[in-house]
Amino acid sequence: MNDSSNKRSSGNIPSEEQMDGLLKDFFKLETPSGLNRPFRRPVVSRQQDKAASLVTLATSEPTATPRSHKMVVASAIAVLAMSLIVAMKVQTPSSSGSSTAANTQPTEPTEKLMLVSPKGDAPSTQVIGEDGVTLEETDAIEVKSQK
Amino acid sequence: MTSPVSGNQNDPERDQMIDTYYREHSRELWALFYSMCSDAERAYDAVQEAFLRYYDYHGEPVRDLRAWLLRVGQNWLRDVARKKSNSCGLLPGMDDFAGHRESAEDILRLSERQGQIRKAMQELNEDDRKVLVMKYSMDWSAAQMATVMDCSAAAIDMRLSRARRRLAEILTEQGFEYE
Repeated sequence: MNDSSNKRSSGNIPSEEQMDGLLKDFFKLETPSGLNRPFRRPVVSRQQDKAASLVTLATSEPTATPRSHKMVVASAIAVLAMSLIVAMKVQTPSSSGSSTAANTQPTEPTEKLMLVSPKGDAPSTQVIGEDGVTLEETDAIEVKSQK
Repeated sequence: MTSPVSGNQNDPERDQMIDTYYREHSRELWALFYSMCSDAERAYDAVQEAFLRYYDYHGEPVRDLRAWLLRVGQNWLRDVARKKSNSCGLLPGMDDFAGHRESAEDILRLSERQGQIRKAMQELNEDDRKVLVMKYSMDWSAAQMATVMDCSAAAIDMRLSRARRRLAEILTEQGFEYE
């Protein structure tokens, strides 16, 4: 009795059999057709992988970048060496090393000695050059020039 | 089912395993997701998302793949619900009519009926919805459902009967026209 009353439609409410058919139709349409198809491979992620591997290859390949680094380092070393050499050349006259000083010292004193006196700076009336210049005359000239 | 390996995407064995698993279990997963959200497209998206994430998964081997996929799909559904994103797809079920000879009026009428039933389904509680989905979408027996729902087959029969009756009441209240 209960079973028959369950299956009978009471008023507007449909019977269980009606509901059964309704729900079967409903889910037949509701279920996505994609579920019957095979799983779609994520093509995008594989392309990304390929791109990533390409990027890895590009970065791992020793091409122009290291070479330019080497060139920069070599040129920097060359510039440094050149500047060192120039600096050393500039410093040599003032630093007066032992061997070079021996060569350079005689020039200035000999000039003075030649101008003043070959025997030192003692006053003398002797002629010290071919043009007849004496030490006294030289002293007098220097005094005048200071005025 | 236990997944044999995880990680290597270019492993043909793994690809094959995913294909097989998808073929055998995607419908079940869809049904379970559908019973959660009452949205066929969203449930389908959740299935796709779960399988895609497993495809890209590089972690430790998954012991229970079904549970793993269910958890991922559920989390995804929760995230989507939180964001309240409104999908603007085709009318529900409309793509299923492609190639059919029904008139536009028939298609529209069918679509409206689908929408009414869907709306009524949303008013059921989740367990009632779940038994209806498992019964009518997957054609599971009461014993199979009992295993998933962790109760007796008799309890499943009762729940099924009650869910159908409740749905009929809701549809009647909505003024649904039965054929």
